[in-house]
Amino acid sequence: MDEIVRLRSVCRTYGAGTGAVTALADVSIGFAAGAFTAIMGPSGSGKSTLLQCAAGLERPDSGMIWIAGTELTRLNERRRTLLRRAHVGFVFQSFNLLPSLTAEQNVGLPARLAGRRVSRTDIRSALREVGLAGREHRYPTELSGGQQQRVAIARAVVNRPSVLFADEPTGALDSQTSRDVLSMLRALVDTRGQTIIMVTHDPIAAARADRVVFFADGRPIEELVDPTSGSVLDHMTRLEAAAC
Amino acid sequence: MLVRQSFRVRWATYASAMLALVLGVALVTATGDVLAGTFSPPHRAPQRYAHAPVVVSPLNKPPATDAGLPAAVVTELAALGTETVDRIFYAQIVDGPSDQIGRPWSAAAAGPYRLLAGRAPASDDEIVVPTGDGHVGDQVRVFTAGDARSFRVVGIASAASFEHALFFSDHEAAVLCPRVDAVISMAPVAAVRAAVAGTASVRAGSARRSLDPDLGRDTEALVAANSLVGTAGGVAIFVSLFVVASTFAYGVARRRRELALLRMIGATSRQISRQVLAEAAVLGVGSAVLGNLLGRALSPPMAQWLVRQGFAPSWFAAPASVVPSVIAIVVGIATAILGAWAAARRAARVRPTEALRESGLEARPMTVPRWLGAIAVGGGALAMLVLPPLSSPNDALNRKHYVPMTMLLVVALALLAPAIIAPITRAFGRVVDRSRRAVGLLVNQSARAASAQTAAAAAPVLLTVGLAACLLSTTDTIDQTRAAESQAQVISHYIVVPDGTPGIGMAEVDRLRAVPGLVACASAPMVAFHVEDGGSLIRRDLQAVDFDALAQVTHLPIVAGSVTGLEPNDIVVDQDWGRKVGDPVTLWRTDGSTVSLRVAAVIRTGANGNGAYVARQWAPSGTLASQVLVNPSPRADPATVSDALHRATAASGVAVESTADWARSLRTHSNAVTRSGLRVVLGIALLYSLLSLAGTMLMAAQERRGSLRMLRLAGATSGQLLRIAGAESLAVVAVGFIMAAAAQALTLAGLGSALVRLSGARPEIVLAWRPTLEVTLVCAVVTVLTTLVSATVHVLGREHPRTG
Repeated sequence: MDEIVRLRSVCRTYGAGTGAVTALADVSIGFAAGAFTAIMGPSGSGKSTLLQCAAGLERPDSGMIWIAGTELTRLNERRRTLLRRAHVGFVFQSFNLLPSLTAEQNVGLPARLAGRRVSRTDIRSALREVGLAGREHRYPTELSGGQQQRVAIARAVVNRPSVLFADEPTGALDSQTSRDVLSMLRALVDTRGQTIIMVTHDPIAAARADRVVFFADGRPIEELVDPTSGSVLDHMTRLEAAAC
Repeated sequence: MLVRQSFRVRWATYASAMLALVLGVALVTATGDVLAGTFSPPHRAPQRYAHAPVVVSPLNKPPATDAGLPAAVVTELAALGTETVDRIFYAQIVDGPSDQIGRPWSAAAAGPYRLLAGRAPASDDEIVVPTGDGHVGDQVRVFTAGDARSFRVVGIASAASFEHALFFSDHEAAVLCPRVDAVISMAPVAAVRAAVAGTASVRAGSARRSLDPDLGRDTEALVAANSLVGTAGGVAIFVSLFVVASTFAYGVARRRRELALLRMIGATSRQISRQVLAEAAVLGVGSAVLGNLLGRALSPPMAQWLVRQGFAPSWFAAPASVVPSVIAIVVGIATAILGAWAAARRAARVRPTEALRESGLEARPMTVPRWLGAIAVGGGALAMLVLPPLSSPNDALNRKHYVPMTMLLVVALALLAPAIIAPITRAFGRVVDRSRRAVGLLVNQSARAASAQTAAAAAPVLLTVGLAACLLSTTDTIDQTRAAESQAQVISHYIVVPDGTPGIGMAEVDRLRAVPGLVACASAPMVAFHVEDGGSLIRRDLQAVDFDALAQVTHLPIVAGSVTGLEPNDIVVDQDWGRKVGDPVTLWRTDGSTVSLRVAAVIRTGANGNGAYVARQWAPSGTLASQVLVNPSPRADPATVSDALHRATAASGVAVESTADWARSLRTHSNAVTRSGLRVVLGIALLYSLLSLAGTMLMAAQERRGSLRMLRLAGATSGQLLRIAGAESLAVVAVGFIMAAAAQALTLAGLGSALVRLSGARPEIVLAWRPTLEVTLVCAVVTVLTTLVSATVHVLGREHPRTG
């Protein structure tokens, strides 16, 4: 299968001298198109740094990263932004909506930033897809946490990005709302063939992915294909025990 | 869309910048209209020589600026036929207006004068007075440059608006004033020009207006209005730029997360900075239009105010012209965009990953460009601060030097603020930690965590308190040091000063000097020209004094030589002349003659610019003394002397003051015009800062709701919350005040060392602490009130569902 995101020998260290922290230690990993990958690992294992580097938000110290065939470590800030705009969508733990804009305006924002004409029907259908038909004109403060996260998802996928990055997308939600959001992500993969790379702590969330990659000390150490929440939990427990 | 939405949500952020800009543009419009008025005084027809076909007047080229018409020219003109000689000299009826002058009666016919009663003056003791100044048959005493004399009023003339003239017989006028100031000729202009041959100026038609005394007065009056209004307009632009810049800096610091989010979902750096600039442009256009409307409504009352305050002549009005409006609108928009420029650049550097951080901790508050800016501006300010004491200490006393220096210093400190705030809050922190109070801890931590925000909020306090403290203490220090210096130089018991007259006639001085038991030394200001070594003609202010008494009534700061036993051909100069004792000095007097003198003593330049002293005989005829210093002679009885002095000066247009009284009034009345102008300017700055402070606090409160609510959940009582909000805003005022105090300390250190170099004595440093504390207090009250009111509404009141 084609790899839509690929990292080769990526290193990233924060700080310098004795206080330096290695977040990514020579990581090479690929993410298949149309797959839903979960990345797990204890705090400080480098999983968030991996996500930020893979998405072109952070520049690695060394190594190469491809998104949809473009090597981005050599691109300047502006070119990387344009690449992100064209190929990458984001969803985060905190919902990251602009409080001054309505749901509809938030969803249409990336296209506006790209200077494209915004089709109102596209926006409406994206909102309908996440179950928010009829709430187009609400402001973020008038929506519940789950609804805000769904607006964020609609905004992330309305441009049909090559890859959707999700950083703890259920971290701030209760279990029922989490399940809804995960089902929605799963459905995007199944119906549209959307590639998703998700960082999470939650074994139940990870179990909805096609593949789980476990990180420790800045590198991937194990993988699990077609996980269940039980097998994920087992792995986690084992890893944490090994770390002690 | 983003810009519009941004305004919808952040109206509080922009309210203060908008108000500041509206006010700024209004002031620039109004001052522009007024300035336009001062540049083009209304055209008026010639007055003094309204009915004279041709008027010949002296060229008055330096050094002969007061020489009158050369005798040869007068003779030439007489040869052409009908000619009238005009002379203008000091003559004042006792208790009459102090700007009264004397002229020959035959010249009156050339002006608007008509004889209303009586007849023309025929003999030397007859005069014609304007209506209201006497009746036919009255016997009046008239002060002249010589002796006061008695005249009989023989006629009443109509009054004129441009001068208060007494008319003498032509013969008596020539005695009182040998100098010829103008010749009115009936001959054809061409013939007159040929006769004069370039040795005097010939005026006919509307050019005669330039000989009217009110023209010069008006121009001079307009210079005061012009400089006041110009300074106010300049300060308005400076302060609105400052407020817009700090508002936008504050806004951007508050919005980092949102901007990072925009970057994350695909906005380029350029789009972010363009958005900030677009917001500024929208703000600028709106404010400029509103401000312009306000300004045009404001300019007529402003012109009236200037007239009422005596800054402008009574006929002055501000024309409604297009150019100032256009300039003001352009300046307003440019100010908004320029002010937001740095903030936009800063916004563009926001990294997308900042959206992922939950903490409110800022990225480095001191960026490289900010350091560079602070170093450049601060370097300029320090250079202006340090150079005068090192090279030309006189500059430090010049308003055109210390006002921009203070502005630069304040801007430099505002730029450095984030770096300064950390140590200040750490120092507070040590005190606070010991008290173990939660409020103090929280306030301190939030001020330190968001030092760029605190810096932006403290900027308006720094601006007003800094400007007030620096400018007021600078002017007061200069005034008081000058007063102290003048006081130290006078060692006489008494000082005789003009009372209702422009000066003391020399005959009066001589009478005073003749009183037994008195040592009296008159001093008369005069102007002379002097050729520097380079060959350029320098205008010098001198005092013509009685050399024999000088050493007994004054204590001059002598550097070399001596002032006892001075000869008439001696001169005492200050260091500014660059001469040594024994050097020859040639002076050109304003009547065109030269005098060769020898330097007998060199004195310090001093804070006043002590100038030079020459013997009284070198003063041009008609010079009036400005003061007479009087001491009892060594063996005289003080009481007898005092009696004699008071008898001698009774009813003669002079007043006797004890030196102590004189010194006291010197200290209280110095430089009233400078000070009232300064107050206007500082008032504008204060108004601005309060606006910007209130706006900043409003926006801080609006965005602090979350953290306050969290504190409440953590167990803070309503009282504690209000105390935290209040204390946070007070911390901002305190930071501004401390930086202003630093600016003041620097300014006074520079000024003080310049004054030491000038006068050699300890300067009288005035802290101007009262106005400074008043301004600080006003800032604190406004800040705390705004914060408490908005905190009460936001946190303790009912939660409004849609205040995003």
